[in-house]
Parts: sequence; C-alpha cells; structure tokens
Amino acid sequence: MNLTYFIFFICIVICTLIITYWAARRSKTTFQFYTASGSLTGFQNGLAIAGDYISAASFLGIVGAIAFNGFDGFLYSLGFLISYLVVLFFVAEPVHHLGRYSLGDVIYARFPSNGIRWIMALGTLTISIFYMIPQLVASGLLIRLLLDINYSISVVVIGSLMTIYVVFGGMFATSWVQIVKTVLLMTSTFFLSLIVFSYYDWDLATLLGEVRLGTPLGDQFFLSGHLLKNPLEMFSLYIALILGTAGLPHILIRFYTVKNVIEVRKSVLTASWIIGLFYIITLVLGLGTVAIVGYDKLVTTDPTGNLAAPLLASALGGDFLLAFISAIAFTTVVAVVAGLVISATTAFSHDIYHHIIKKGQATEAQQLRAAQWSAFIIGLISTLFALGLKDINVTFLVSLTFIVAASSNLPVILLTLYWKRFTKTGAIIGMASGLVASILLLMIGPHVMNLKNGLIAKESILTLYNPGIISIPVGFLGAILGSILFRNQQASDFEAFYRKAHTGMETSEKKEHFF
Amino acid sequence: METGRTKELEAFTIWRKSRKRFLILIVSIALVIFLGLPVCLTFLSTFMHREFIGIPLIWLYAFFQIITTWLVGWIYWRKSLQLDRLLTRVKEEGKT
Repeated sequence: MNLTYFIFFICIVICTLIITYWAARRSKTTFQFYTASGSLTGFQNGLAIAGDYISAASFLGIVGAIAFNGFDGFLYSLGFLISYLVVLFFVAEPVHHLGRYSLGDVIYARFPSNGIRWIMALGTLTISIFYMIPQLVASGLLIRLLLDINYSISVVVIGSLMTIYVVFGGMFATSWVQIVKTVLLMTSTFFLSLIVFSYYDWDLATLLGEVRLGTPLGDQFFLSGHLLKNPLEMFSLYIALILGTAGLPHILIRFYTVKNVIEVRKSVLTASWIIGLFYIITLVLGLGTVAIVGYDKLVTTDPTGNLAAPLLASALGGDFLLAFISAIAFTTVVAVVAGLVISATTAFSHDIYHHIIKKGQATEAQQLRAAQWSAFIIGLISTLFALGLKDINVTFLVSLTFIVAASSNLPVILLTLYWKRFTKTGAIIGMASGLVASILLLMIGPHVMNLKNGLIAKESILTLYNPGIISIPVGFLGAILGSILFRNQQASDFEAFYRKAHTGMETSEKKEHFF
Repeated sequence: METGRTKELEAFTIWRKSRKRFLILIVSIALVIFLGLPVCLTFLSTFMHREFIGIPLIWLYAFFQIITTWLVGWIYWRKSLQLDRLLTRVKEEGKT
C-alpha cells in the first residue's frame, strides 16, 4: 500500500479510537450507552443524523450514478432529501416523547405486550442487519479496488472498528464518529467541488460544455429517462425513498439523544440542510467526473461507477487527494455501520433481553453488559455474513432495506400515532404483511430473477426493480384490515396516548409508566 | 379544579385543531410540489425537457424541490414555535 494512503487511514483510525476512549468513560449506564444521556444539541444531532444517513452508496454511488445517467442519478438524491420532511412532520417528535431507547418503546407505549416488542425488535434487527451487510460488502470491495487490500481484511478491519466503537463507546462514540465524519465529508467534498470549478476558471458554461463532450449521451445527459425508463419504476422508487427514512430504526433512535422537541426539530432541519447541500455538491462532482475523467475511463476502471469521486480526486490532486477522499469514504462507511450496530443492539438488549427475557427486571449492570455483548455478537455476525456474501447483489439488499422500512415499519408507526381505531393485531398484521410483501416482490423481481446474472436464471415475474408502489399499500392495507377485522379487543385510551405522543404531557388521571 | 380542567381541555382542543389544520395544508402543498416532478416527467416529458434561461425545466424543478424542502422545514419550525406557545397555555390551564 502507498505510504500516503496508509498515513491517512491510520489518522482516521486513531482519531476515531480516541473518540471511543473518551466516550467509554461516559458510557457507564444504559441511559448513557443507548442515548448519550440525551446530551447532544439539535445541531450536533443533525450532524450525526447526516453522518448516519449518508452512506457510501450516497457518497460514491450517487456521484457515479450522475456521471453515468445525468438527471436520473440526481433523482435519487431528491428522494433521500425530501424524506426528512416526512420524518419532521409525522414521526420525530412523537418518537422522542414516547420512546426511551428503542423503536419498540414507541409502539409498546400504545399496545403494551411482548408480542409487539418481539415484532418491533425483529423488524429493527432485520432492517439493521440487511442494511449493514451491503455496506460492509460494498466497503470491502471498494477498499480492495482503491487500496489493493484483500477483501476479507477490509471487511474484518471495518467490522472490528464498528464493533469497538459501539461496545466501548455506545451512543456517545457512535454520535461523535458520525459528527466527525459529516464535518470531514462536507468540507472535503466542498473543496473538491471548488477545485472542479477552478479547473474551468469558474465558468459553468465551459464545465457543462465539457460534460456534453465527455459523455456518450451528449445533450441527452441533461434530460431524464436513461436510468428510470419506466414511469412506474420512477414513481415506485421515489415513493420508497421518500417514505423509507421515516421507518429506519437507526435514524429514529437518534431522537432520544437530545433533551427536548425543539432540539428534535433542530436535528431534522440541520440534517436536511446538510444532506441537501451534500447532494448539490455530489452533482458538481458527478459533472466534474464526466468532464475531467470522462465516461470511457470511468467505465473501464469500474463499470459500477462507484469510483467516480476517487477518480476525480486523483485527476485533480494526484495521489494525495485520492488518499484523502478514500480515507473519507472509509470514515463514511464506519460511521454508518456503527449507527446500524447500535440500533440492532438496542432492539436485542433492551426489547428482547431486558423486557421479554428478564421481564423488565434486569439490573443496570446486567442491561449494560447485555448491550455490550449484543453489540459484539451483532458486529461479529454481520462481519461473518459480509465475508461469506461477497458476491451478493448489494443493490438488492439496499432496496430491501428501504422498502421494508417503508412497507413494514412506517405503516405501523403512522397508524399507531394517528389512528384511533388501530389495534395491536392490526400492528402485527401490518408489520408482517409489509415485510412479506417486500421480500416476496423483490424475490420475483429482476434483482433476483434475471436471465443474465440473476440468482434465479429465469424471466422475472414482476418487472419493477423497486416494488415499493405495491408493497407500501400492502403494509398499510394489512394494518388497516387487521384493525377492522379484529376490533373487539380491549380498547386503549387513545386520547391519553395522543396527548403523550404529540405533546409529551400525560393526563392528570392517568400518569402511566410506559417503560 | 373542574373549571381548570375544562379550560385545559378547551386549550388542548384548540392546539390540536390548529396543528391538524396546519399539517393538512402544508402536507397537501408539499405533496403537489414533490409528486409533481415524477408526474410532469411522465405526462409532460416534452415540455419538461424544454429550456428556460438555458437550463432544462426538469433541472429547475429539481432545484426548486431542494429549496422547497428547506423552505417547508423552516415554515414548520416557525409554526411549531407558535403551537408551542399554545401548548404552554394548555399546561398553565392544567395547573389552575
């Protein structure tokens, strides 16, 4: 490995380990471990949310998608950004009011039962682990391409780091690693985009002219219809992206790390500003790649387009800038996977171990030990999966995550918070139908059934790559029908719940302890 | 005590209705704007590919969506502060 690369990587690793050491001394109770004592400001939490959300797929994938497909690549960015309004309007504040550590707490507050804890914990574990595997696989492949390190070593290094952050530093370490990542990512990509502009003497027209020359699409590059030819596919993708974020457990549990709803709102708004600015920067980087590196070189080096940003950095600043951008990509991956590990850990140790196995009677020390062991085991399992699933279709798992979150978690969260007639059975049926529909539709779609390179070498039954447009209504329908058909249950006090969920106030008659 | 609770309930109902009205309005506007892009790309593709001040309309619409996201977020922030003041009244009525 080149010495410059090695120095940058070591710097990043040392910096994050110092953060973890500092955080470990502040993670002595479950409240500290799971929520960083609710001590983050809205701005800090917004930076952490952006760090949690902007994955390698966003940073490297979208620059490549724009470089290859022009406008259609940019459409992904819009869906990711707009999704934060759904979080802001409907979900963020009630989650903060109702939950303590996990997403299961929120639904349990209305339907107190072990069944609800089980299903929410399983949903969180499924989403977090399914999302973690492609991140680890993609990062292993990427680091192998960039630095010529063996795939297994790359995965083991990233898997070990994410596990160390969470086991020793809990939410404190995870949050600060994510904050540092966001600051590094934003500043480095911003400066890279300035270098792109300065390369063309700050003349946008010249840059766009070079883009036309650099892509085989010519003028068509700036028009839509290259990646998402089918309008239904475009709608389906857009809807899944917009609704998916509000069902992602690792994003939602971040609202426990601030002390009040004003900070919750600040968190979402800060995250939306950072993510929006980031996607504008990725657009400049995508255009810069086509203009400076050129389509032919990009496709020859890496047909997936994931190396667009590193190639641009190399073309503009040689080995030094390439090493820096690669180190940023590495930080991007570890920050996202650490967030996923803590979300899965919370679901297992808080919902399953503390509430179900120990019936809420585990001591503080037992809970903390269980959380640390859970983080270790989840980190280990995900790393082993990533090592064994090197050839898995990464896009399939990422699609699955967003579609499951939008089809399974979101209907249950929204109906729990806003529909008076919603029942526990409706919640369980909604979760199950959304999950089954998402998996089934993806299995019969072209991600899996494909004559060329599919897991099943047959013509796909469903032509949609993103079946959200079908599975999301199935999730909602399952939850609604389940509630209507199984109505004769013990009615919960919806008014008291509504008040608690949306204002944080409890009625004077009924001050319940949900946890 | 009973009067205090009635007033608290009234204040809470006002808060709830104001919030609901605001959410319905802003979500409707946001839905039209955000789902407008895929709708326009599907049904008005030729029109959307026309240029305005040298930039294709689809790009202008895309940038408009980013600005709208931030603007809508800011409007929500302002309105929430107003609603929080109403909520403080609910809490005060509850204490009396």
